[in-house]
Amino acid sequence: MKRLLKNSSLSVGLALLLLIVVIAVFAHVFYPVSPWQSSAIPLLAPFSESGLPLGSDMLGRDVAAGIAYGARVSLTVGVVSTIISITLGVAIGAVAGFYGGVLDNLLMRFTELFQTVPQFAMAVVFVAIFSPSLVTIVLAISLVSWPPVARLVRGEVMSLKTREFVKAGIILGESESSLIFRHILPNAVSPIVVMASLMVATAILTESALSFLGLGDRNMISWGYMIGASRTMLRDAWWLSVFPGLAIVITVVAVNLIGEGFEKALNPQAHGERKA
Amino acid sequence: MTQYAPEVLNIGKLSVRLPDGSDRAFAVHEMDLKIEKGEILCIVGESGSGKSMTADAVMGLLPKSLRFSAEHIRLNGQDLLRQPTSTLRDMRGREVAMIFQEPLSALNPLMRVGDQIAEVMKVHPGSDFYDVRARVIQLLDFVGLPEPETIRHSFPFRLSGGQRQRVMIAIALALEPDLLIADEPTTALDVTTQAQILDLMKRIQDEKGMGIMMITHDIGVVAELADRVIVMRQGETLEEGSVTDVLETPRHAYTRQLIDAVPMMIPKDARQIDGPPLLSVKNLNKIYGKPGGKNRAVHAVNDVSFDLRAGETLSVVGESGSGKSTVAKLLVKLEEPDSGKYVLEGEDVTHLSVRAFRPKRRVIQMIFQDPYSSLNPQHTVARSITAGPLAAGVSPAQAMDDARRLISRVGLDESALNRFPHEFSGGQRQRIGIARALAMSPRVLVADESVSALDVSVQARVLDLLADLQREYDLGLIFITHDLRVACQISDNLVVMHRGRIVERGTAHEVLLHPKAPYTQALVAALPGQEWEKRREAAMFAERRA
Repeated sequence: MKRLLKNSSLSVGLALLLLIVVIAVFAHVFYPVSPWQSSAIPLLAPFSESGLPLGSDMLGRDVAAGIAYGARVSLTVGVVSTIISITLGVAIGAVAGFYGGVLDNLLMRFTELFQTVPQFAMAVVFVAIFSPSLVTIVLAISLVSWPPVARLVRGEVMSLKTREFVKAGIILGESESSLIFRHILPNAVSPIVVMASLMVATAILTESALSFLGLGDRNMISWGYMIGASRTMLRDAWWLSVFPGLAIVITVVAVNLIGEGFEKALNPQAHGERKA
Repeated sequence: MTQYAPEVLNIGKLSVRLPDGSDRAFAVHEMDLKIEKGEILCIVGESGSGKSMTADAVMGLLPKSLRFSAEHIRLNGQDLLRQPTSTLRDMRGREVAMIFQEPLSALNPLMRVGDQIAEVMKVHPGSDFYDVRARVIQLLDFVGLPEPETIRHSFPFRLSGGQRQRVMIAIALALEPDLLIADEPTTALDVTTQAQILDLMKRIQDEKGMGIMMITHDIGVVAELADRVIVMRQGETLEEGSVTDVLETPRHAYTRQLIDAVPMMIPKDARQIDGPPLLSVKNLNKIYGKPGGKNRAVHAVNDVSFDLRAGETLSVVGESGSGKSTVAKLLVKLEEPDSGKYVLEGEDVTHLSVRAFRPKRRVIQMIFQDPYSSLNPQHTVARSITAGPLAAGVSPAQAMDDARRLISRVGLDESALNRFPHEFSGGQRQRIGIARALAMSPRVLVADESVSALDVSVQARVLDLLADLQREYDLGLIFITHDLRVACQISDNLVVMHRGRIVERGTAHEVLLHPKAPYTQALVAALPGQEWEKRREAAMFAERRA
């Protein structure tokens, strides 16, 4: 643990993310009024009135409140869709890698089917078909982001299953599920964790892009929606798009720092640091 | 330049400091060393003794994180510590060259071998060899490679391990350096190939008059090759002297211990082993790759038959590629035979599926070659040992009791159960592997090169343990090895495999002391250090008589 905290990119990333999580969780405490409600004169510039540090939009809504509530959507989408796609990817990759042969062939062709369609286009189509809501957005993002996980896990499993301790497990008469869950997957955790943290960032960006296109959840304010709604006023009211944009950048950077930090911590040799 | 200096290399008080928090302060401590022209100095020691560090220090190959100091490292009278980097670079290859243990990883896989040899001459312009092509062919010829003109255009993967090591030697010899450093050059090679490489090194010494610094753990190689010997342990020089002095009248207790641990070609007393066979294979065949397919089919196991009785040790010996490891895999059902019959405890298990064979796994267990990779790094020792019994339906409490009993039986403390594999040494891990196999209370143990990765002294103790356990549990032991001396000591019966076939079988005494098949004769003849061994045996018998 000490070694983990010495790792500067990891600790900076975690600190930033913690800040965003606090804002998201306590959004209703900081801003008891709904972010959709107008609470001031429209188009107030930032820092011109106390209580409205980031100004207001064309309908007089508080931009800061929008960002706080938007954090909820971004984080939920990022985390939940990553959990779903990791689960899906690990399951498919592990089965394909462990059993090989025809099953592997079928599963990999199925994976390629998803990989040949541009990810974002597929997400847009999926959300457009099943009316936009938080659930469909999360599902759409999961659906387009599991194939790389499956590929990664398949490769790891294929190499781990030839290791001697797995063979020792076979000789001891352990069942296939115990070989996969007790011997193989725990030893593949580090690359999966690194990939997962980076996927959270991609998911947040995808959600923003969908909302920007007007495919967001209509009941929940999100950063992408805020940028999309104010894009026509970019020259008159820059703060309407710049602050949500900054929020996205900071979150994605935080998550990327964490991913990078994990990679360094879990794989120290590759970064020129000797273990001891 | 003091060209007349008889000393090629002279090191004074070399110390290499290990990073803080290591198990000792110095990898090498105040080492003095000198090598004269035309002399072979062997540095012997077990793993972690600092012998390779010494070589790396001379070549400037030490990792930057290690600090080292020395009074002087003089190569041909020039102190390496006082030379600028550019001079040092020029001296490497020209005055000192090195060959490594693993010739495949030391050669560039994407370059033809001729170009790799020529490269040394190109990076050292102004050398005496103007006609690079002729020189390359001359070198390839000198190291005994057939058809140098063809070999010159081959890529390293086309060559066998022994041929690759010859190419490495050719590269090292290209500029006729005065000092050749060889770090375990024959460890990765088969005995017959090893014998050829050792012959080549002797020829280099005779014909070129180079000084050779040879690093090895193999006392047989030392006896065969060395003029002088330095014995190292944990970075300290324990003993130095001529090869006869050190090997025959060692002064230091550790040297004696090291020498005594080297197995001798003396079979154990013949035993009468009766009873029905525990395990029996008949005309077993395994072919990799389809015959007539795109890749050449390899007949890895060809008509192999043998029986094993309770309490018997059967050794399967052979060089790499002989199919001996495939036999082990077939026996524990990691691979399926293509034809033949495999009977285990009276039941035909040849065509049992993986699932149907699972109950029979309790009967036959395996000990792996590499104690580092055969234990799951994330599982505690207790978890590794109890996994098999738990899968077979033993109650957790009972499995834990057995694990406790077994871990002390193999000579480890009970507290070992709660620790992880990386906290143990190689020998200890192999003991854990043995405990794990025994936890299934098997009747047959298959040991696949189980002691090859261990230092000789550790190896001797693990072999003793195996012999004790065999007596205690009346185990049938199938011992797969390339090491004839070990096989000779441990086995009752022995089969010799060559290219998938059994070429000779019989008692250890018959096969190894009076080999009949030409291949077995060649194997036995290739053992390094036979002269020394004869003297050693004579001395031992004389001692016994007295």
